[in-house]
Amino acid sequence: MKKSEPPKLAEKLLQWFCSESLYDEISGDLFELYQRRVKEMGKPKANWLYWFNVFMFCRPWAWKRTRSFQLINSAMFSNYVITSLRILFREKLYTTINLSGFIVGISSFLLCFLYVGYEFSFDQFLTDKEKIFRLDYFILKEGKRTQNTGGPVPLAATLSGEVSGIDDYVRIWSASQSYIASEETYMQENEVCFVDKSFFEVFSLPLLFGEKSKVLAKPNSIVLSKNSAQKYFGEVEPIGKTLKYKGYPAGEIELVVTGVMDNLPENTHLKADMLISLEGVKTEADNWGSFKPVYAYFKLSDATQEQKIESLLPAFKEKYLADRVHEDNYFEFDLINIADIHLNSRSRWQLKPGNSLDNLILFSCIGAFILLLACINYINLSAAGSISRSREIGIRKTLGAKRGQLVLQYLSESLLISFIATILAVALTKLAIPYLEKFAGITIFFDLQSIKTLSFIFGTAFTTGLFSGLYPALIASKFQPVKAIKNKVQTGASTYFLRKGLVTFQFLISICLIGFTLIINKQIDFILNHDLGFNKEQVVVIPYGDKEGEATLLNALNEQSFIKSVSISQSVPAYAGGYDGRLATTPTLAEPIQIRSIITDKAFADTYQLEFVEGRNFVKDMQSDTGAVVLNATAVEMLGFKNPTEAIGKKVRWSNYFDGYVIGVVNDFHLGSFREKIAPVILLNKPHWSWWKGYISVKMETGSSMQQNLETLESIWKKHQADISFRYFFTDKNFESLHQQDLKFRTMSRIFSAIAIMLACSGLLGITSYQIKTRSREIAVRKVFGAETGYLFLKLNKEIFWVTILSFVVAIPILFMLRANWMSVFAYQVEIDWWNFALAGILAVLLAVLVSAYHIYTLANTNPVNIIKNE
Amino acid sequence: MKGTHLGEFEEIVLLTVGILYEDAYGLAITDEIENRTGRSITISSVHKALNRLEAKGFLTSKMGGATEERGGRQKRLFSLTAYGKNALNEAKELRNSMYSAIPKVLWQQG
Repeated sequence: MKKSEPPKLAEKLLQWFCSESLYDEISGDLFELYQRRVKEMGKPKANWLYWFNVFMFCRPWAWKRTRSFQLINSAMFSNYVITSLRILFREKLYTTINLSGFIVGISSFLLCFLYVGYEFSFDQFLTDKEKIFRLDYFILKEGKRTQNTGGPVPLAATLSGEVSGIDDYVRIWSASQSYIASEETYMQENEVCFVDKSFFEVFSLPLLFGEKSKVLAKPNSIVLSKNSAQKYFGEVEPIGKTLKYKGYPAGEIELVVTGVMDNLPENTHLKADMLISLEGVKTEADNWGSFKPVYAYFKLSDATQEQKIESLLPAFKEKYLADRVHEDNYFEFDLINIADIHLNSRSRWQLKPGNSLDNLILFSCIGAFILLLACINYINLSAAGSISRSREIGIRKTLGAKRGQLVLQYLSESLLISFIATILAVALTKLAIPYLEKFAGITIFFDLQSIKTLSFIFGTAFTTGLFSGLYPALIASKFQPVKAIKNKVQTGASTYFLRKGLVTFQFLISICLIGFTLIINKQIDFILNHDLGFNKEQVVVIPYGDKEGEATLLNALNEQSFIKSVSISQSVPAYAGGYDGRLATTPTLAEPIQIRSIITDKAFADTYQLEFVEGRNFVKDMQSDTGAVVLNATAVEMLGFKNPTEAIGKKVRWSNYFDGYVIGVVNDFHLGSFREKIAPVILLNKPHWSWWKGYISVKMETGSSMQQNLETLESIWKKHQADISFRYFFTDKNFESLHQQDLKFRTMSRIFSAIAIMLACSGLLGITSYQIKTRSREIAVRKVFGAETGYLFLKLNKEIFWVTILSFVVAIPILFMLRANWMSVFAYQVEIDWWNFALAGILAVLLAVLVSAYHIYTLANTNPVNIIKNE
Repeated sequence: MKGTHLGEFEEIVLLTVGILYEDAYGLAITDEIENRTGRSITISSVHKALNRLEAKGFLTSKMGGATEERGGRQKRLFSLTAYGKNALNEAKELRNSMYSAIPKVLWQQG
């Protein structure tokens, strides 16, 4: 009779767990029992019972035990550590390369982790953060959907009154040009905010003195930060003392200190040093037409209300902002959660500039790549080194070492070195943090007691060790003992290609980083040396708001011999303050255009040396010039004139109420950073309009002593403006600081690419020194047969040459992608051709050849007899 | 050295190995125990006990012939060692001596 077969899978399972010595009898008994059961109760039930029986055997007494028994053996383990240490001390070059690589790699990775962690910690500490939202809006700007925030003054209260689900609201009105005085002299403060009384109820920020529901309830009350309390009163509890305020939006008022708050932490997007109550401030209270830097925050009754409220926003917009909507053709409100603001908001004007997730991903990738380079070094060196250690492996195998034990030995080696490196890397990171903090302007929390940080460090050390050690371990443990003892181990073609591939990959990363640094360098040089359309050198700008004393101050300044020209204007190039966007049109233009206006005087064009392409500048005190305007070339084009000549004498209507005529056209000049396109600009000759605040620009003669000039300026200022402290800035420095982020980025990429190339080269150095060892006999024989030193040198270098060429070829498209990606934020980009990258390639090849040249040259030059006689 | 104490189930298995004499292997022992005691037992518990008894030195074993009935797998044939026989004797004597120590009057009470 034919036998029935028991379930295959169950048999497999039994075979897998059951000890070999027991397998035959057990499976035999089960087979016999199965046959009987099939006959008695049919196949399905017998199958089921067979499974049951197999499971019943799955007990420790029947398990395979040989492997698990021998792997963890404390005596052997200490032997592994001893051997590891011996090898580390014997192979000093490899150990240095590996250890330093790991230290640098792990520190970079750790710093990136800390930085990214810091960026993610923004506003996370606020209680109820999931319920707090800010109202942002989207408009179309140059065809792009652009995020913005701020809005009309009455918006927040109206919305929270009309829509249910909002528990509380608070407006933060950023008053960047405020003057504060405790005694006589006013000081300009940038971080003054006017806020609603609910501020401390919505944001859980700690108050040192005062009650959170009362501190801002009364008009003219002010809450100071600890710092500003110290600054103005020299104490931290100046409750009840008074301060004077001058500025927009409150005018001139007297303030009473009602509370002191802790200085705001770095990791919040809120930025305020002084909070003044909005109670009683009536400025623009009913004006829906003007968008101010008034940020509206809402605390919802729960987070799920967000969608409901967002669905009501279009109707709300139609009701109150119909004009605005039609003007821009596109306008959309959006609620953004407070915890998302820092990383996800693209709003241009907000309390603190945000960061982008892309940046963080880029940083994490770079950190991981650096660590990966160090791991590859270890893999390569250790895999290569295992051939020279083959005798040890052979002996161990002969003495009965299992493959698993050898793997464990190799892993304990790599783990040992990665853990030593981690300890040193943590120390290095501790040392590096102050520099990073200073450089990036952030505070990093490196708390070695936090579970998160510790587990990250431990995880990194463990993963690094495991990842680096696994491949060499698998290679070495595969050696056949007899061959290994005779030193006849040949690693196969696959491992050869893998190692070459890894070296190529290292060079690829290095070349990418070098190339990327070159791109950044070129773009930044382009920005800093580009003709801006105005002259930024030797210009000092002094913020100025007092219209009455203006003429006498300007006259006093003009008398100085070191001053070339003095101008007062509503805004100045390379500085964000005083931005004024209006509509402009001509009688023939279909749609008005958005234009940037600068109210100024005749001297503006002289001070910044603007170049007139057509027409003339304003003439001082000429009555007919009060209605004159000057346009830039972009404005001429956008207003529909064919060329500058045609524009002269034409009428331009500005901001719906002022009719001017064009008397001159200047070349385009950069008002902002290179990330922005040059806007159409209109210069208005209206210095006697009183409502605008301004900046005095002073152009100084070259060759005069800057220090002395500034002292003179200050003394003149004190004579005329005794009650306001003297402040100034330089236009060229301002322009640089507009690109501060890019400059920092350049420094970072320089450091990282230097680290990368260092790692790749040290890896190459190790590999060459190893190859030299294994190939010395071949070279000696070649020499005996008459090969020239030069020929051998080239032959040995050939491989390295091809490795770098290959990685260069692969790097070029990657670099073009990186270029396109990184440059996309700039409106003005430098041209970069592929041969610019060739520099990166040549640099890499040169470095590679240089690094390996010494070893190769020594070998190619030695007397072959010295090598062969040893055999 | 594992303990020499003999558990109840171990004693039964040991006895069964003796009963089956030349043909004492896992499944046969299981069947025999089931027949004689009427208990339902799993084959794995018998294997476990055999394993333990062999480790204690009560049993010895050799691999027997592979038959087609068993799918070509060998069976492990167990036999009692002198130590095992001794242990059975001791167990029996202990039982007898304790049994006889029970006062006769107990049985008469019903």
